Amino acid sequence: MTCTDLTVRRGKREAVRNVSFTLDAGRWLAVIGRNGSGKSTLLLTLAGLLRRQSGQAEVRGALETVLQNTALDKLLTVRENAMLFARLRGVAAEQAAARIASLAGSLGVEDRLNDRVGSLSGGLARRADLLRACVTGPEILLLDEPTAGLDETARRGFLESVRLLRDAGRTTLVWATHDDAEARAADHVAVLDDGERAAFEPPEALAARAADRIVLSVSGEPDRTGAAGPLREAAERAVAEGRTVRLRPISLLESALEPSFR
Amino acid sequence: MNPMGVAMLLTGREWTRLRRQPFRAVATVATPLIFLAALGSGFAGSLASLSDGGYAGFLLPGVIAMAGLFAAAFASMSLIEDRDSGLLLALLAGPTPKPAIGLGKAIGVISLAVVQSAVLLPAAYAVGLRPDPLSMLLAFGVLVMLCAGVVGCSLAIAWRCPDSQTFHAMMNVVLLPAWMLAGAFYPAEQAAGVMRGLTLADPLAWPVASLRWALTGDDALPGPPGLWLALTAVFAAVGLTVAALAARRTP
Repeated sequence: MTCTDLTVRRGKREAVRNVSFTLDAGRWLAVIGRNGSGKSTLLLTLAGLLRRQSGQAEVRGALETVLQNTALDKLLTVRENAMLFARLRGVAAEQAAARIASLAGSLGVEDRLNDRVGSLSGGLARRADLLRACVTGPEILLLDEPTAGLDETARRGFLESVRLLRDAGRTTLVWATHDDAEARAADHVAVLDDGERAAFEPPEALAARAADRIVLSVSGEPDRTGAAGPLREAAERAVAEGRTVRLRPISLLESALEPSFR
Repeated sequence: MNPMGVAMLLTGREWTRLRRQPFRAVATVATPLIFLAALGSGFAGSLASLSDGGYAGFLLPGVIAMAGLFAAAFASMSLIEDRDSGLLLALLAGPTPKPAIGLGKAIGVISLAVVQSAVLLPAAYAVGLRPDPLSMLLAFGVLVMLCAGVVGCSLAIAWRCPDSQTFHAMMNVVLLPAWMLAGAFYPAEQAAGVMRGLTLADPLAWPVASLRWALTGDDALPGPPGLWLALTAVFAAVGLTVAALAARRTP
C-alpha cells in the first residue's frame, strides 16, 4: 500500500493534504489524530470510496472495511450477514461456512451465529462485523474506530481478536483510532494533524522521541483549579513541583503533537 | 462473482428482510384492497358504466399500479438504511464490482414490488373482469416495467437523499400526485383540458393505461395501446439509467 502526496477534498476543505507513506503487506498501521484530522477521509480514500484531489493511493489486494457503524443488516442473523458478504466476494458456500465456524470461535460469537444482529449488544455486534469482514479472507483490512463506544472489556476483547486474526494470516491492517493501547499494538503509527502527516514511525520510537517532553503544565492550587485534580488522577506520569503539576505525555498522540492548550 | 450471481444474492437478502417484516408485506397489499373496496363500492351505482366490471373494474388497474408504486418506492428506502448503517459502503469498498451491487439492489427491490402488486391481478376475476391468460401475462409484464421505472427513480433519489424522512416527504410530494393524475380514478379522455394534458404527460399514466387495456380491453388514452406499452418500456429504461448514473457516485 503506497500513498504519494495524497490530497483529498471534502466540501471546500482539504481533509487530507500531501500525505505520503508506504506500508508493506502484512503490516499493521495505526492512524491517530484529533477529531477532524483526516483519519476517516484517508481510510475512505484507500477504500476507493472518495475521489483524490491529487497524488496517488495505490492499494493492491482484496480489501474489506470495518467502519464506525457496523455494516450489518439488523434483520439478518450473524451467520447470514457473514455468508452474504462471503458469497458476494466469490467465496464458495461450503468454504464460507467453514470459515464462519472457525472465525466465530476466535471472535467469541460462536453461540450467537443464529441470532439476529439487532438483538446483539454493541460489543458483540462489533465482533460480528469483524467476522463479516474477515470471512471473505481480505488481504487488507481497514478499520475506522471500530471500538468507538465500547467499554474497556469489549475494547480489549476486540483488540485481542484483531491480534489473533493478524497473527493467523498475512492481512495488512490500517486502523484509525483514538485509543492508545490500540495504537501501541501496531507496527507503525501515522499521526495526522489537520490533514497532514505529523509522524510515521513505530510506536516505540514515537514514544521514546518524546520521553522527556512536557505536554501540559497546570499551575495553581490543585484542589481549586478544578483541572489539576482530575488531570493528576488521569495522568500516569504527573509530576508535582510545588504549586505546579506537570504531565508527561501518556499517549502516542500527545507525544507527537504540540499541546492543544496550556 | 458475476453480476447475476450478485443480483441473486442481494435479491435473496431483500426477500429475507420482507419475510421478517410481515406487517410491511400485509400493508402493501391491504392498502390497495381497502381503496378498491371503499371506492369501488362507494361509486358502484354512479360510475358503473365505466367498465364491464363496474367502477371497481375500472379502478382495479390503477389500484394494482398503486401497490407496485408504493411497494417499489418504500422498498427503495432501504437503500438509505443500508447507507446509514455502513452496509452500503462496506459492500462498495470490497472487490465486488460496484455496478453489480447497484444492479443487484435494483433487481431485489423490483422483484419485491412486482410480486406485491401482481398478487392483486386475480382480483380482476373477483370484480367481474374476464382477462384471458395472455392478457394476464401482458399485465404482469407491464407491472415489471412500472416497478423497474419507479425503483430506478426511487433508488436514484434515495442515493442522494440525506435521510429517510426527506425521502418519505419527497415520495409523498412526487408519487401521490403522479398516481392521482395517472387516470387511475377517472377516464382521462373525458377529463378537462388541462387535466387531460397533465395525465398524458404523466409517466405513471402510461403503465396504468397499458394495465387497463390488458385487463379490460378498454383504451384509456388516445392512440394505439402499443404506444403506451412502448412509453412504459421507455419509462423503465429511463428509471434504471437514472439509477445507474446516480450509483456512479459514492453515497
